[in-house]
Amino acid sequence: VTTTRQRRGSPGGRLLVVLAGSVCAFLAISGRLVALQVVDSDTLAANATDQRLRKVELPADRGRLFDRNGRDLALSVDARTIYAQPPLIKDPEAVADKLYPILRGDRAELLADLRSKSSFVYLARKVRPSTGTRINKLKLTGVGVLDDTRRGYPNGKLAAQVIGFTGNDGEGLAGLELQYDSMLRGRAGSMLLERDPKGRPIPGGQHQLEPPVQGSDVVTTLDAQIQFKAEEALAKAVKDHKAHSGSIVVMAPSSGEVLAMANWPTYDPNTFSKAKPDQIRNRAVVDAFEPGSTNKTITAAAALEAGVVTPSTMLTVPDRLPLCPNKTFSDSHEHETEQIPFSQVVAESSNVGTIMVAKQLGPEKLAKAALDFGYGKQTGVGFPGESAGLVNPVQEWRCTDLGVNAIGQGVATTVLQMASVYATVANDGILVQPSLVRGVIDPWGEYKDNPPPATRPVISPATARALTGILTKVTKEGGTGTEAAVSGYAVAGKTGTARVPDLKKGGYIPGAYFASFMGFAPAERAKEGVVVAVVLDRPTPIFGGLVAAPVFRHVAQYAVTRLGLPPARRGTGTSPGRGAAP
Amino acid sequence: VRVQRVPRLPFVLLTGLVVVAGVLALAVLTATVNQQAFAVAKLDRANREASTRYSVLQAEVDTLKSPSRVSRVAHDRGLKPISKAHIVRWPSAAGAHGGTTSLTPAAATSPAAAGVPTTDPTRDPARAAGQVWTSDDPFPLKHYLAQP
Repeated sequence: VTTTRQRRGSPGGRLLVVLAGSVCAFLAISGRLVALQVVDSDTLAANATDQRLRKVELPADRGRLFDRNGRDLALSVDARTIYAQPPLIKDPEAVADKLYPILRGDRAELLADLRSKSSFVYLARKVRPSTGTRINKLKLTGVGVLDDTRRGYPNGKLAAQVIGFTGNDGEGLAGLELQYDSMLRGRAGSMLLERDPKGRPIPGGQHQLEPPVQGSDVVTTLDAQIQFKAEEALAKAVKDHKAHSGSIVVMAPSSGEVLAMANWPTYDPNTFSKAKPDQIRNRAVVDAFEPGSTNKTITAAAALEAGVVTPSTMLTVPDRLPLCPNKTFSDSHEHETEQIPFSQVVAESSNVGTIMVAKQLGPEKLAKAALDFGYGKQTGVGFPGESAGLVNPVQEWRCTDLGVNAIGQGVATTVLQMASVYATVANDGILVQPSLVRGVIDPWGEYKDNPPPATRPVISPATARALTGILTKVTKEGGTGTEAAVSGYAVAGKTGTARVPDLKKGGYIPGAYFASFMGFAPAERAKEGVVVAVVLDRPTPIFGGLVAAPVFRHVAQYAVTRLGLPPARRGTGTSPGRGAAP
Repeated sequence: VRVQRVPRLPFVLLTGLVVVAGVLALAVLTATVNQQAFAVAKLDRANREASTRYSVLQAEVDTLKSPSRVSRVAHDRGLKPISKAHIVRWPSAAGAHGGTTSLTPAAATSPAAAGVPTTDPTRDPARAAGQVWTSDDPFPLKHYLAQP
């Protein structure tokens, strides 16, 4: 059976329809292609790139802080940060059960973080790398580990107030970490990686690396061993004498380099968040105190420089000295009117004798001497929050101010400023700007010394030597600072016992005193020796010669040994040996 | 006229062989390159881990060397701080302090020393041996101070 199907219409018409359909399809595809390739091409290409390429920021290692001998004071240690993406976590309880034995801390807080509505939360920051490895092995969905660095202070509390600390994001927040932040920080780099859909790097894929520039290392002037001894001695003294606080500065006179700067109370910068502001403050630089009798060194220097007295000038020193109406100055101990040389006035720390000399000198010269020695302005060490101290302009002095200033009350300085005063005397009258940093090691390992510190003459070498001779008497029989004497070395220094101002009510706090001792050894080679300044706030007993002088001895004895300064030859160790002193 | 037909099989086989060999060579090359890339990635990872370990160990060593810890351990073992040190003379001593020969380390290590004057290393055995501080050495004491 043959069936013949009759087709409707002409074949040409069907062909036209097919052709038209094809053309439409072609036009549609072409239009879409144009849209994809021309109109949206940049966006789509960028999306494609984003999908497979990932830019990873490479943080720069923060530079280290060294002591003067290359011992690490602060360094960056690799660490890990644990994070969670709560929306991806199906069973927070189960995840918390697995994480808690590793992360410890507060389980309720951990669970709250895992249940959080935010898309990203930190579970633990800057933990040990081994902790990160353990968490990675758990392969928990929604929990990840990031590379991080942690700032470490391997010596714990050592020089904590000087070094300072950094925040969670590695920025300097206090101390040298803050002062040299821009130098220590370095510059972050980046790495562009091609990744597969699971986020794994594709070997042989696109890879661009812009390496980070590491931060420079900063070499401080501190000597960790001397610093430790100073802190040890200070902590013991504060404890033994029930003081509120204390500071010690150890300094090299001819270079102005600070070898140690100790403060108490103190803290551990590794756990700075637990510290109180009182512990973090670098009192030696930030706090001003009234120097008391240690300031008589400036009065004596000015008087010697002006030719008002010589060390052997005989003075008739009464027990009391009326200076203004209703104001009489007296010595700390009652005594008969006595005929003593000026050197003995200083050795015995006579208020009356010192004020008598200051009267001869005049207020202008006395005030100028204090300013010349650096009172009233920052030392130039550049430490954050450094105090300039407080000096009233001579034009504003009242009747009593001459006497008050001559004996170191009514004027405020920092311990560093006072150390600088004694360093100036030890350095033949040349003031060298104090420094806490020796130099910098750049990211390529090249060491560069800091520029030489600014220097200026304050008193003549002859005055400095005469003054050294006078100050040496302080630590000898009959002086107020015999407890500061270091066996085998001549020590020049001065005791101080100054009243503590009442910052709330004005005036002074009854029964409250700063006890201090400041000096240098060996006196016969003062330029090569060390200056040690010790201040204790409200100790018991109150006298600098009893509580601060032994601390000076302890620290100075260690420092001269540490620096290899041999004792004086037999017969020369008990005199200044510089010719001008009596 | 009878036309002699050239056999096609050898040509097809040869062409196929060349193509297969080329594909195989490319596959081997790609595999080798990727294998190297995997090896590099593995070494990178190992390097990172070693670097991490080094930094952690460095911190631990620094902590163990800290003066407070050394002092505590020394105290526990019955050691006491020296009351009066005996200062030895350095073999290459030069200069004088108050008529006595000074110590080269003292001169170099004393913070008062702005710098040891440069001398011809060929004339100074200590300097030639690297025992004396030079201006590009930030840590002069390291050469002769025993670090605890």
